[in-house]
Amino acid sequence: MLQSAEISAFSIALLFIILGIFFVLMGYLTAWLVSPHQPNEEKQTIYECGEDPIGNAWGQINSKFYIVALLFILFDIEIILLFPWAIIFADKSLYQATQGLWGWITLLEVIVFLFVLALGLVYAWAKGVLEWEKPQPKNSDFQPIVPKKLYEKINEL
Amino acid sequence: MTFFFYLFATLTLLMTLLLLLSKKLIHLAFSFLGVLLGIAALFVLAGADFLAVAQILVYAGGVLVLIIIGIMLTQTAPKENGQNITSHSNIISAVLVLVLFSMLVYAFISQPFEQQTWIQNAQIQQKTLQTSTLPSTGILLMTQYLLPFELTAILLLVAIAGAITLLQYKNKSRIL
Amino acid sequence: MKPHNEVVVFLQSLYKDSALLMPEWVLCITFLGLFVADLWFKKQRIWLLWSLFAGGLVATMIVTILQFNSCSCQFEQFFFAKMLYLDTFGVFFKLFLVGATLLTAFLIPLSPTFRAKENFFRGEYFYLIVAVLIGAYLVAMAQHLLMFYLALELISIASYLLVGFNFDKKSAEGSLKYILFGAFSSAMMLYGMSLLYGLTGTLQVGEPQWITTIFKTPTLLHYLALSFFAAGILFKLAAFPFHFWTPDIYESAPSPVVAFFSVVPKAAVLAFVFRWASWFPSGQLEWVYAVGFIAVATMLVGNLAAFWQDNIKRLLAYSSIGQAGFLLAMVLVGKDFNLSSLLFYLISYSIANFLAFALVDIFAHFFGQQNEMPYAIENYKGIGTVKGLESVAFLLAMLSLAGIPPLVGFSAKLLLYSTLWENYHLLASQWILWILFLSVFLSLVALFYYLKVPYQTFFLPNTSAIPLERPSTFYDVYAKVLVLILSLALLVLFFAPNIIMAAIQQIKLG
Repeated sequence: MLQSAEISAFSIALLFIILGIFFVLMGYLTAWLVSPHQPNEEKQTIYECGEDPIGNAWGQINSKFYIVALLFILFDIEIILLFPWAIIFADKSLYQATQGLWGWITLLEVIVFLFVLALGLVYAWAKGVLEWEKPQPKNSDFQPIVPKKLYEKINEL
Repeated sequence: MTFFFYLFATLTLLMTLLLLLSKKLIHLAFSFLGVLLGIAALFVLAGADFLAVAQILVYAGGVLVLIIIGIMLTQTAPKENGQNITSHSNIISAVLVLVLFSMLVYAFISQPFEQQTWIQNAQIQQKTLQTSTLPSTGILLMTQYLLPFELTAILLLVAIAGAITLLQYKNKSRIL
Repeated sequence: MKPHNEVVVFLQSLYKDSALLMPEWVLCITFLGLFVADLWFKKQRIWLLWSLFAGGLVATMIVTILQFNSCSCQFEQFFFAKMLYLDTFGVFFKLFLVGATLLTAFLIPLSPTFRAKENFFRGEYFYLIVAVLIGAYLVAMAQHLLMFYLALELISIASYLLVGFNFDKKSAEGSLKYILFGAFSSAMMLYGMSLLYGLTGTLQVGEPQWITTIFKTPTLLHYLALSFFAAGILFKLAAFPFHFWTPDIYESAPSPVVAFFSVVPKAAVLAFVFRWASWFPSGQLEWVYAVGFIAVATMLVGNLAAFWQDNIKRLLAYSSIGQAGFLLAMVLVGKDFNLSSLLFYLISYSIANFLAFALVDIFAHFFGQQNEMPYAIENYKGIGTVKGLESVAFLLAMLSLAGIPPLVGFSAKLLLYSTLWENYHLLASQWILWILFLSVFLSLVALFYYLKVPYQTFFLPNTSAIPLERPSTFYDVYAKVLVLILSLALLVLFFAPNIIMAAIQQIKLG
């Protein structure tokens, strides 16, 4: 069916994808078939660890997530570009054809590449992007009108 | 082979249509995932295995996450009638796009691709689909495409610096 | 495994090729050095970073001049596996680009953001400009579409960021608009490139295989692919259908950056376009029509829209669109003619433009930071009596842009017209004659809006309260010296064009 070995290797990946979709759908199907359908108001509410949900789920997330995602993409591209290098940099026939020069040159090329990108990480670090702002606990400045003595009186009872 | 090509091509086109017609941004992002996976499959069928993997890793794994985070960053509570991102239809632009599309389709159909010498040569040699493209990609990256390879590093560095500058501007302005 | 002859050849030539890439290495080292220095030094760094920046540019300039000298004895070669092509034309453009960037470096201390140092001036400013220059250097030599695209993207990404460097709302808006327009046009260009690759089977522009398939038997798909490809190029040139971004961006970005944008990316892309135009088959006229149409439309749009502007930066933006039209008209002249008219025009345009933007910043600072709109033209009313030197210099810059003697802009325009006239005789195409008439007419029209500001400064009474004359600082002296030098350059190059003409006339397109 598929001619080359290279492509048919991907058919395994396709099989996994299809199986993955299949299992998820089967889970839904069995749940739908087996479970009783008796909805009430309590069951319909959004599950939030047993608490009653307040507000809606559309809160805006911190913009730092975006920068982390952006940094991830940049280093993702870097990894992708390193991948073909890793395959061929110790290639024996190339090594022999160039009297060992090949290994050194490619190593140098990749070191330059990595050095420039490592500067990017250093930059992100130095500018404090990787530090997460922790929420500071604030002491409440609430002044109770009820004097403490009254509480003590209650406790005595 | 041909069957699989049409299968994935149809899938990609359907997902693209879904992307264009979806009214919620988050639906748009997920149908984009379908488009990207379909294109990756088409790359596989074209014998470009490295490109397919790169497509999934970078686009499906990275860019899509960025898009979804971007949506979550800017999203506010949905309005009563749902967020309507399809703007008022502009007849002129629709006509222009249709004209361009039909011109492209006509041009592709009328173009005699089989007569081109480089395609004929490739058909005779028949070596593209036999082996993985990964080693040859590696060798090309290290030799012929060395300069673009290193330039990519600088491009990415500029992008990192730029993203962080923009973020910090935002933080500073909040303080000032 | 196939034999590795190509790899061996590449490794053998790597050392020689790297030596040819010397100016770019110096630029990259400047870029990385500025990057590290920006992170390293925390205090008293603004002048330090500036001197590193200017020093790196001077070093690059010296290396480029050395390359130019070694290159003038007729050598043209491909290097880096035919990614780049080195000829006197390319090296001259590189020299021009680094010169323009150096002028930008001297403009930077005049900008209001630089003067107000405590306003957290960012070191990124400097190395992003260097990044644009690296991209421009490579574009000027690119012979491979991948190389061209990556270098152009380097220019674009750094430019998007530089536009936002005023860090106010307007600047952010301009930056966003620029990103959206830029991403759109570069996507179109990428699509065009992929089609061109499919049609020719090579990314190597200028190869015989490339030229024959593209120009000998063009089909509809060829034309579509070429027009998609042209979209990205016209965007960078700010030429006709892709000029909409220019006024908004020019208005919101810092003035030195605007002066830089109006010259460096344009010149780099123009070098590529000119190489491209040299492959047009001389017999066929449809290329002349296509480029001529874009040139004429760009001239018309730029020069006519400039009338209604009441913001000096928007006026200069439309003026730069108009000038891009004149520069594109040069592309019609083609390879057969002397390139000197194009290069001379480019030089004269950039000097006048840099002078104009330097003065815009000087005046903006003079009008004060309290002024809500420091770039509005009505501010200039009657300023001639207060800031005499600057106003005269402004008049000179505007007259040079309009092409009035005795300024270098006149010689440049004259050269342009005479080359177009010769070309008309050679090609015997009425179309070129019409372009010639139209460009002469539009230069006359342009005179009106170019004189808009000098009219305000010299002939209108001062109505708004002029800020008190402050004690002159270092910056004021510096500004006066810079303005004087640039205005003198405009005059001197008119009377003695041979200073640069001698160098220009050796230049050949490989």
